Amino acid sequence: MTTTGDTTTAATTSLLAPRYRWSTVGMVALVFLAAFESLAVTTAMPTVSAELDGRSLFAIAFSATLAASVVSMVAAGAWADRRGPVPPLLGAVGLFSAGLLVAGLAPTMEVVVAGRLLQGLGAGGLVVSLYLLVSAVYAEVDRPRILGAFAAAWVVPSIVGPAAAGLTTETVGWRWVFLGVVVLAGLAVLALTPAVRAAAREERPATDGLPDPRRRLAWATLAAGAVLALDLGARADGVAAVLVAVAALGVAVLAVRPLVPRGMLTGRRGLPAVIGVRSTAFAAFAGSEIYLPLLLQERYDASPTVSGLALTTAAFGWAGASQVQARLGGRLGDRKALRVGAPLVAGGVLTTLAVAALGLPGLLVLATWGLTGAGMGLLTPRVGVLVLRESAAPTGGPTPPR
Amino acid sequence: MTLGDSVGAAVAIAVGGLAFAAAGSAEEPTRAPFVAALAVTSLAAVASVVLSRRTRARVG
Repeated sequence: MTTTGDTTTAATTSLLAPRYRWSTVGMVALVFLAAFESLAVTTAMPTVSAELDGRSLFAIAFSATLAASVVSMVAAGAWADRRGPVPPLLGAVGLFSAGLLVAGLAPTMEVVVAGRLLQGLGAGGLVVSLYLLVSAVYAEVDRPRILGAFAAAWVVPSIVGPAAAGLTTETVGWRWVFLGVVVLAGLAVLALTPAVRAAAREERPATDGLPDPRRRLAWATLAAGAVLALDLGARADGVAAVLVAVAALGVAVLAVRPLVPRGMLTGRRGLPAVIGVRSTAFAAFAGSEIYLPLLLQERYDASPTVSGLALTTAAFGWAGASQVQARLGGRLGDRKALRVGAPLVAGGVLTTLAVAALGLPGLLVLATWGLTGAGMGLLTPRVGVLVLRESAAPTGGPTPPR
Repeated sequence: MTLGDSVGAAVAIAVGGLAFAAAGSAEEPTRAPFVAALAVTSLAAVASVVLSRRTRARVG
């Protein structure tokens, strides 16, 4: 630690110094693999659903993962509060790997969905545990850089993941998009052994006075169950489908309310609206993106590799815009970034809708989806900045980073 | 991604999936299922634009 005048600056340690080396490698590898998996599956899923005759379960193969992750985020946080980050981390990696195995070996689309559910349980817990492990292993002065490395670990999979998944699907088969990651996840956990030992040695803070997590867990489970019911409602016929959908949507809204910041669901002005911008923009982005490879493959005869390019253009756009907003700094106001980013996302989604409705050239999707990604890259960091600056008091639900 | 983002995306995908399934069958693939699903996500996109104009809290 060095002291200069009235400022005290702690000396930083390289993330690859012997003290951190294997922790850094293991953690960054896990983030990398989770990122790769989420993008690769989007590219491969049209082939999976076609081969297993499971087109009616196409959407649930994505929403089940996200819904399950909500439950595990809450559960992992509560578990780590009481036992430290190691048990939930190991549990999360185990569930994630089991999900990969189940999906990779699935004989039917129903089993793929079950595997994706397990993957979601693992992914949600993994994110929370990794961030908690960072605070157990890294000195405070080194934490921004390891968190920056987590963000960077998304860039390469975003750019090469879709193409790699397309190529894997076309050559050795879609099952390897899942199975190939299992081995690598095992190696990443092995690399984490020193971090796990360090975290296990840490003294646990007292657990007296911690809020009872059961209520939050119950709401999260109800919300996830409602999302699954909403999906499964699509398999019912006529009036039954409508009734199931309306009931499930109602339950989902009720269950989500205690989990998100107050006023967010009603779009209250101020901070709730700021957080709402990101959630609705991400919902539009993720909800549309799962259909792009399917649209391009089914309606434009594109190969899995070519259809994955749409996801790659979005990744370039996201990373590029994120860099641009960082360089612009204060010259681009936070709220202005949101007012520019949200219309970019909306423009990309509406253009894709127009392409699908009017049969316009598929190349238009490849071009405009990059702008959608740019919109996300512009608004996502600025929402974080606004939340940190303006949330003097907790606004309700937790927002674990991911 | 936050818990709210995950829930929002899961609901959007589920409702979009419902619209996708209701609009067509695998036997006769048409553009309609894509239009239906993307119409749902377009609503979320428009909502984000509306919310982006409401980010300043009312004073007083």
